[in-house]
Amino acid sequence: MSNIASLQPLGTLLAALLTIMVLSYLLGDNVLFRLAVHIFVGMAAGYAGSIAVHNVLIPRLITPVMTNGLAAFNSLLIVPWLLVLMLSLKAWRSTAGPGSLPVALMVGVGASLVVGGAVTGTLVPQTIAAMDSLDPRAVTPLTGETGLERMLNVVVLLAGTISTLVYFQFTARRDATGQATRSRLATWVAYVGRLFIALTFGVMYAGGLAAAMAVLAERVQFLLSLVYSFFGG
Amino acid sequence: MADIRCPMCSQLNPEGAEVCAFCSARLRPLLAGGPSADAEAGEPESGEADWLSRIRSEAVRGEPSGEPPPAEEGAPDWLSRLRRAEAEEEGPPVGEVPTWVSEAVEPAAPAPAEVAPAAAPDVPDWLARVRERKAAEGVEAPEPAPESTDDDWLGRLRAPQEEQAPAREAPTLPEILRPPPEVAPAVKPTPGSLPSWLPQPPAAEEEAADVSPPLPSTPWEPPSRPIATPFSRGPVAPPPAPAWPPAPETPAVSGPPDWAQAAPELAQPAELEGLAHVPALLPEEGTPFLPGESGDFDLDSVHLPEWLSEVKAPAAPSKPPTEEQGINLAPATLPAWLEAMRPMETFRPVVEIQPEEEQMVEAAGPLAGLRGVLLAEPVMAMPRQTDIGSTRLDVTERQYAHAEFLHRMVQEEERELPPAAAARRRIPLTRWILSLVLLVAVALPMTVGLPAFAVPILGPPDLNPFIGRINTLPTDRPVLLVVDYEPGYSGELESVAGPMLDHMVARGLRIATVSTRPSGPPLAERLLVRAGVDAGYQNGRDYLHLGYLPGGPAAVQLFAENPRQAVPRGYLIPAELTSRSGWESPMLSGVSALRDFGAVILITSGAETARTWIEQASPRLGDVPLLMVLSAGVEPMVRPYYETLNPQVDAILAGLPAAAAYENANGRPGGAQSIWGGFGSGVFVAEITLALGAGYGLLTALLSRRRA
Amino acid sequence: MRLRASLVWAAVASGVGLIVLLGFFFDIEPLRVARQILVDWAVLLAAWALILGLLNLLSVHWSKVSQQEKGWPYSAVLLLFFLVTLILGLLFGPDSPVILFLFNNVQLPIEASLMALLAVTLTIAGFRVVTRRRDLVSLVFVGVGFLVLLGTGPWLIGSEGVLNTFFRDVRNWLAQVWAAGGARGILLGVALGAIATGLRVLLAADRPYGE
Repeated sequence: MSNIASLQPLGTLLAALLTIMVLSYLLGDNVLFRLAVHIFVGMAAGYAGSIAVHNVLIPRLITPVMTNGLAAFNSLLIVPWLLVLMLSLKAWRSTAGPGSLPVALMVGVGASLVVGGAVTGTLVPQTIAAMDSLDPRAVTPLTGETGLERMLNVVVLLAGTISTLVYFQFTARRDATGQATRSRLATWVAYVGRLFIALTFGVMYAGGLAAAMAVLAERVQFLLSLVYSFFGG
Repeated sequence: MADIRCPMCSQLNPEGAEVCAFCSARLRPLLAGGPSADAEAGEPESGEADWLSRIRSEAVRGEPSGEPPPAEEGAPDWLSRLRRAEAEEEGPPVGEVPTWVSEAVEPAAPAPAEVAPAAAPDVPDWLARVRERKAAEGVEAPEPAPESTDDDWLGRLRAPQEEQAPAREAPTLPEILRPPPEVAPAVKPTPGSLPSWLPQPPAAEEEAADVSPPLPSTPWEPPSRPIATPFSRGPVAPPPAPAWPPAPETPAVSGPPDWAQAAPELAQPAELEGLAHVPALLPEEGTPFLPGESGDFDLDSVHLPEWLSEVKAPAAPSKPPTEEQGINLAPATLPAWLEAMRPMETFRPVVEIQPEEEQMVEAAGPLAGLRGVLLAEPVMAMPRQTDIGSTRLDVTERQYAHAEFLHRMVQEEERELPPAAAARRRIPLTRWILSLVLLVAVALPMTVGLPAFAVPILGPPDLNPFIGRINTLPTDRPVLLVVDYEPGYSGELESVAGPMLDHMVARGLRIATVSTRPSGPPLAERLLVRAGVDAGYQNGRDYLHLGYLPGGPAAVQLFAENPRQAVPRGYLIPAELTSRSGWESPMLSGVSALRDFGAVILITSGAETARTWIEQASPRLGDVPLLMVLSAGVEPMVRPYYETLNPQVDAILAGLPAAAAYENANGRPGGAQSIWGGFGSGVFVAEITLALGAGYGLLTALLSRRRA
Repeated sequence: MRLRASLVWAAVASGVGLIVLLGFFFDIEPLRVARQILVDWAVLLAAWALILGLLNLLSVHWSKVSQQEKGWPYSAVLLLFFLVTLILGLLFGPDSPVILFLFNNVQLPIEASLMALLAVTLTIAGFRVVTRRRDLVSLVFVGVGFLVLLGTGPWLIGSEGVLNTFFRDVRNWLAQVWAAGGARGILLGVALGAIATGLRVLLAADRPYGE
């Protein structure tokens, strides 16, 4: 541990060097930038593998066997072992068939979690929230708005919600000429929804820019602090 | 007058000949009548001063005329040589008619049985033997017919045959359509026993080699007129009107078959004149017999008689074919069931059936003399060498264009593209300038302190509720801190979460961290070390890292159901905790479910992660508040869960301004305020850039509109 | 045989999905136990799938280096750091000081710097949008972004002034009302799409797990 701590200045230098290598992309794509990116990918992959093995696979698969021996397979432990082995068969085309079973299990679990979560966590609560917003007795929890001001906000909120949903409705009818066209009202409402989406993305764009600017400021601060530490002592 | 070419063996015969001297085929097809036929029929009368008539008369009289046939101009030499045959040569002398000829023409000749082979001193032995056999078979002598009338020739021909099995196939057909006589010489003629004008039998040793029928060696001449085929590009020459040989008239004598009586318009054989010339079935000299053959058939192996080898190319027909009245054949009538299967009218080719009198008479081939027959000549009856034009495709302009297009496409595929010239590198001037300005702008407040931006005092409306939530968290229960952001956002989120952690540390709240990302645990360590180092927070006692949980929604669901089972191993677990999982730590002693925590605080940079935790974990939270520390870009997508009468998210903290205000409220400057100047300067440059861009866009729009 | 195997996989996916889905709506003990077991297996398989993905990454870059394809030195560097980190992590543990050192001084600075580049690129992108596109949607996008930035960032002068307060209120109004309406519509649309996609998988209309 103390050895590693003594290496911290070296680490700081290394971090600064890598930061400059990445920021050199502002001048254009170059070898330094590519090198830094490949170092990052390799290290992130290696770290992810090591933590997956240490924190998940060894405690769940290896440790029970080492603790209880073969008796561990008397329980349901045999099933995850089999599933893991079958999933390994996916690595080769000739043996990929049995590997579909664990994948099917993962897909089934994931799909059901997504469906259940979407229904119980988003669809129903958000729909209820939209309906509740029309309650004239409600008070905006954050700003405490009531009355006309709140109703105006509620109208805007509902208009944004409905028009955005209409925009994502892409079904249409065929007219006499055979062309698929939406009704005039739907077209106009969808256009309003498109504007609301653009507005939302504009807010997200500003937020993303602000976040990136904060990170840039932090990186510049790090480099400056290193420079100060070298020159300022 | 021109010679007549035999349609069967393509040998030249004198102009007035009725039958071929070589193969006995009929030279003049029988015509059904009509003026031309009648006119032509009259011609032989005037021109019958030929050897055939002489033969006939001599046969009747029984004495040779002794007159050689007049030499005709243009006749081949071999013919003249035949005519100058000496009396001492074998074969019938000049003017002498072979008996078989006289028997065929003059049925009144004495019965074959009465004819003794020795009676005619010039009759060869083999012919005498033939006659004897006929006499033995009891062949009835044909009825004599008057010389001048040709109407009875059919009857004369048919009479001796009536007692035989009548030839059903074509007793009234011209000679050439008749099956060959089933007469075989009883004795094979020996070399030297035949007259000189007949082909001598091959020698014994040559017989084995003579396995193929003799082939004419005269080169075949292409027809003089172009042959119209579906594949020829040139103008299609109208086919000549062949002279249909009329069917013979119904003979006056009894005995002709019924179907012969149905053809009363068949012309007399004597009326046949001016037949269309059928080129000989002979290839040109030096060319193969059939076009395209490379000499698979070896002509050398075929024994050809001498007289065949001397045959020259046939001459072009001198007389155009005359159109005679054809056989009165009704158009083919289809039965009703077949008529029902006829294709639709639109697809039925228009077939015009000409009137009978306008139909052409076939002049050559086995169907010579018939009317209403599909024209065999020149397609079928005349073997020909195919024109070059017949193999050419009739390509339209459009097809040619398509073929060219396909050819170009294939060529394009094969063509090697020249190496693309190195693209001229454009200097990213805008990026360079903007990058320099931004970096300088961000660095200036940190170096020289200018420009100075005031730290916000009033934060956003969301800040106070968040602070209030932290203030109301129970201290006897640990707080679950979910660290689910990418290391790239650490510069912002460490600054944003810093004051919150300071607040929590200040309140003495115990913190347990967990992450669904591999990089979560070390980031959590960074957060807590920075926040708790001053407060003396210790790992294992005041905070604990529960570890990493893979699987996304499944991990969250599993952790929400049973946190202890979900994370069997922790991260940076102190050595005193032997289980390596951290659950045996005293700070987590009362925790077995999610709702046992004091609060769940999610630090995330992604809207998807926030939504996952809301959907999967909030049903298991109960009264436990769910707080979120968000990156500035994620806030709009989480706000709908927050701004409701029954919120699923109890408080949110987003953006550096909120964090700076939080630090201000804490009274403890932190990371947010340290980068506030650079952040403000950078945002200011971004605002100026957008404004300048809007102005530039507006200016160019106005200028372009003015130009338009 | 092939057809029966695909039916088995479809049956497994649908059956497992049905058990987990019912657990959202019914709180029955056997159902909860079965659901937990299945989700536990799914988490385990997700970790093993991560390992298989890393092995695939290894093989791809290994072949690139062995065949000396274009850019093979970069692949060699990637392989080097991958193997070094993996071996060190397996030997000493992912929470060892060595790994933390590498994480704090290599991985984090690189990833943070990549995020910092985004500040420049987002600014340039906004500049190009506003100069090249002049339709109403682009105008709304950039205009709202400008207003939010004005209300987010500090001002050089008058940071706490009336104008600044006004723009801050505009920013809050845009973010809390207008953007929230659009975001709610987007969330509902995303939820509907996720439900449709999930049901297609549960009903075996889509079989992403193969045949």
